[in-house]
Amino acid sequence: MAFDLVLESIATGLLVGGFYAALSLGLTISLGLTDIANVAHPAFIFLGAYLALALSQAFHLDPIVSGMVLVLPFYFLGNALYLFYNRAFERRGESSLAGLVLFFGLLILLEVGMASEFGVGLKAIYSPYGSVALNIGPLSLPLRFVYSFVAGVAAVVLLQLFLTKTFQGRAIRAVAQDAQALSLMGAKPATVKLIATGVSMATAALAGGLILAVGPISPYQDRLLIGRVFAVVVLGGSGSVLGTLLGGILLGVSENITTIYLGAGWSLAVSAVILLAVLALRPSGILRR
Amino acid sequence: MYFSRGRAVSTAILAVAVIVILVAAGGGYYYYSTVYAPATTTPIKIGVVIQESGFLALAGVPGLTAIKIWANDTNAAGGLLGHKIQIIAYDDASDTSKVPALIQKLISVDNVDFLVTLGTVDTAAAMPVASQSGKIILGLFGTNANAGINYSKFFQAAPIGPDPNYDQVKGYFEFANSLSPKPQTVAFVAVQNDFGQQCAIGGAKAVKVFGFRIVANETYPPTQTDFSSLMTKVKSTNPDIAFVCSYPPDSIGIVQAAKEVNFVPKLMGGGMIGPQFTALEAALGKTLQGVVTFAYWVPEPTINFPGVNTLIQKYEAVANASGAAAFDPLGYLYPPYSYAALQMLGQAVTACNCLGNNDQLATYIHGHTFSTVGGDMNFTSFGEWTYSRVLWIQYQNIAGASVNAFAGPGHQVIVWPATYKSGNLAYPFPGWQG
Amino acid sequence: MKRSRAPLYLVILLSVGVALPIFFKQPYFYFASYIVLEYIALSVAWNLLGGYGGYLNFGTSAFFGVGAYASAYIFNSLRLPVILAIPAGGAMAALLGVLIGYSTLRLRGVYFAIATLAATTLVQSIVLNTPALGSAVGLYIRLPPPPPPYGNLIELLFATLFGVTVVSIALSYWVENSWIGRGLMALRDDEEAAETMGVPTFRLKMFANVLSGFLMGLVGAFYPLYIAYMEPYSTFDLGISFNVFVMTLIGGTGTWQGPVIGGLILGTIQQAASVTITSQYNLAVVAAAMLLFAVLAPGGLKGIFSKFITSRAE
Repeated sequence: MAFDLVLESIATGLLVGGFYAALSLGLTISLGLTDIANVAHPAFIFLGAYLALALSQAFHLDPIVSGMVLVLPFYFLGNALYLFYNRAFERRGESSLAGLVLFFGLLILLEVGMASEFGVGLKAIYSPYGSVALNIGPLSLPLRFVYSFVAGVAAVVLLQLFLTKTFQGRAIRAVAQDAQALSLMGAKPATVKLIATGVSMATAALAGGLILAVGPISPYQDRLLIGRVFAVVVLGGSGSVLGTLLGGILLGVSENITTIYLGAGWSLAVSAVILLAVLALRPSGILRR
Repeated sequence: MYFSRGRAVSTAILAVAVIVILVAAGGGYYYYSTVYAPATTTPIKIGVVIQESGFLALAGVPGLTAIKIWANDTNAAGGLLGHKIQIIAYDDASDTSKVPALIQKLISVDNVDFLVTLGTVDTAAAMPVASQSGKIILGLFGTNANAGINYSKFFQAAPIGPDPNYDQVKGYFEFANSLSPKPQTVAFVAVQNDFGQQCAIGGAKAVKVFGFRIVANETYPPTQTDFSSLMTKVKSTNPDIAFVCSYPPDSIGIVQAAKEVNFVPKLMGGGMIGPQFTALEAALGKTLQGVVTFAYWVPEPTINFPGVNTLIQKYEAVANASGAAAFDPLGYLYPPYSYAALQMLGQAVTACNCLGNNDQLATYIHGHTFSTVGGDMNFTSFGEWTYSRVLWIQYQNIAGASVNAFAGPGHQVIVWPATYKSGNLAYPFPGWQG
Repeated sequence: MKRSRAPLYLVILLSVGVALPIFFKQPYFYFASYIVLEYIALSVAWNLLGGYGGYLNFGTSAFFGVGAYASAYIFNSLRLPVILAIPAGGAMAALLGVLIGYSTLRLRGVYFAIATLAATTLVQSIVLNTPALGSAVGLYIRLPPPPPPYGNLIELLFATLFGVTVVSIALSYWVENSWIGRGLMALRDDEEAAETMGVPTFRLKMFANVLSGFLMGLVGAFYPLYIAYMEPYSTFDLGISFNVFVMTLIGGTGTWQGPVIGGLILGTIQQAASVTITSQYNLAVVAAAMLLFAVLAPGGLKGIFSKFITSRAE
């Protein structure tokens, strides 16, 4: 296999990996740190994408910029979601299984809502860098993936700093390990989870902007993301933000390497085998929490 | 007390949220309602199982809209043989497993007179039930949907041809064969779904017939996001022709990636579904210039069948009325032949005057040619068109990234077949623009 | 239910299922109930490992699909009798259960859950790349004629699936009341404690997983005869796995009645909504029902009935 081809596939695999990581950040926080299996996370990402589309069309903004604008509103949306979840399930000590049913239902309702409001068909936005590549030597790096990668890595770095350097961030990591001890240290677990869910939803807004920048969107594509996002979270280690980046990159590069050696038709099978192997051999992921 | 206050509060919040979502959603969704047949005479009931939600809704919704426009047109003209048309439509949500039960309900509970489905998968799943009932079933689009049973009362709407997977794509290779200097090598790129694979099988047949050499044969899953590696791999085989069989999101991804890695074959395109959709055309703009795809109808002056422009206008009025929820505002791909199929049925019912006798009606349809908004149509013994009128168009004169850049004649130039040719193919592919 | 009368109830139930299509002739009823029965059987099977054992299987569609494709290959491609194909479908799915079980059941439950999700993708991808299984083009199934007294193939399918469902429920009841069930519930509540008490946790989990997989594959083995045209996307649809999980939870995990109630209620709501409410709003209604059940009855509907019964008794 020509060296240029391998280089290109690894390079673009890295870029796509950063994109996948951005999509999975919210789930790793909610699943890994607050123990809320928010299966509806992909649907929220698409909600973000559609809202970003509306913003971009109305104000002629770049899709990624629109996504960033939505970060704060989505933070509050996350807070609201946690308040409801807390009242409905956590306070009553119900198992998180019932919460899963809630999130499935939410996923479907969001899909129906988006389809009714924005139409069942594909929508896309024209951006000046939509089909432009950055040419470095033999490599052609699609700009839309370069920007998504940069945004994704920036989000990962910011989140990692937040989780390690700030009080709230450390409290979030602590609540995952021992909620009781945390409350003894003066931070209420519920408040901490409130912030964490807000942050998780905020990443969905950014991810939505990235999805819109990368290609066309439809209300039903969220289901396709579920498998990938879970795979990235598990590969990287649930709850580890840096792990998500590594997991995403592993997935992206493996897809591309499979494409050039076996054919893209096998890429999903290979990814599944890698995931199964990791689960069998090192289940807590590359970077354990 | 089982119902504590906390539980009541959260239930109330939940109920309010659900209602708000549904009302907000309902406000944004415009549903073109059917004229309900007044109870003067028994209506002619047409049962439709179609994708109003899910992945294939981008085909199902324009198709259903066209069917309803036909029903309204027919009722406004007095109906068929004095009976008004009533459309009973069920949504299969793009899920095959729902189809048998829905078709059966139409047959044995709703007592419909005729059946309509859209797409290979749904039509094939409906076929055994339809065949047992003896009713006539119109399959809108789809490739080889009748290959399993060869039901004699199935009729295909789209002008694909008697050997569907070959006829759907042969035009691309036939006109490539006529170019000089003749291109030699082909790279196949096909999506892993029924359309993509049938398209690739047809393409392989055509390659044998017209004497090309396949240098790459790639498939990819529908969820593929980034096509850079795939396009680079294909580029490295240096094909003269790129033959892509793809569905909407990936068609766009492939075109973008081809431009990004600067893959410039002499002929770029193929059985690509996706570029025909207005929203996607508007997003790609000039990038589509020079790409060759298939079409069933485009607003070129050479293919101006009687009534088709009026239909498109009516369709666009409906589509635009739904505002942000507009589905395919221009409507060139699915509406014309969906309407034409129902037109054919209406003409047959009227001329045969044998309502209730499906055998006689089916024989009548097999033995006649019908003049519709899709041109003249007649059928083989297993319900496909006796000849193929799949158009091959090249995007030309695209000014920019907007719906207007693609509306009207001159932008989707028919380069094959010769009967409908409206312009010359820009060959070799000049390279990516925009 | 006194144990001595259980076999009698079983026979009565089975006779009802077998005899009904001979007397009641409405094909739509059978097409719609087939799907409801399918979901009840799948949910009962799921509950064996999920409810009793606490290990959530998100790959129901993988087992279902493996059964469907194995069965279709045997009677449609190899032209062997259908009567061989059905149990073969179950056996193939059981084999999948063994493979997944050996690799992940020694670990915590969440890894098993993700593994089953990955297995669905893997199996679907393998089918997509295998021309002998139809790949993406799909398989056109040659439907056999129904033996009398059934006039319609769907009547025979209904009767047989009804029988399979009743047998699954009986199996579930038997497991629940046996040492296997008690062992599973013990390891569900506290796996470490159970192990220290000498409960053979791994073997119990494997048993439940393989039995569960076998039943799911058995149900799937009938699918080609129902759908007549099979392709990998709807056969391995993630929605099947979601539905089964939701139905069992709504009905109540950990008892044999739970998945039956959940499958019956949610399955019927889904069928009714698809023919009464226009287009995609029927999904919204189903989702709203899910949400309401989740909030009002998080322990399962069966829990509400029990509480209602016990509170009245007081």
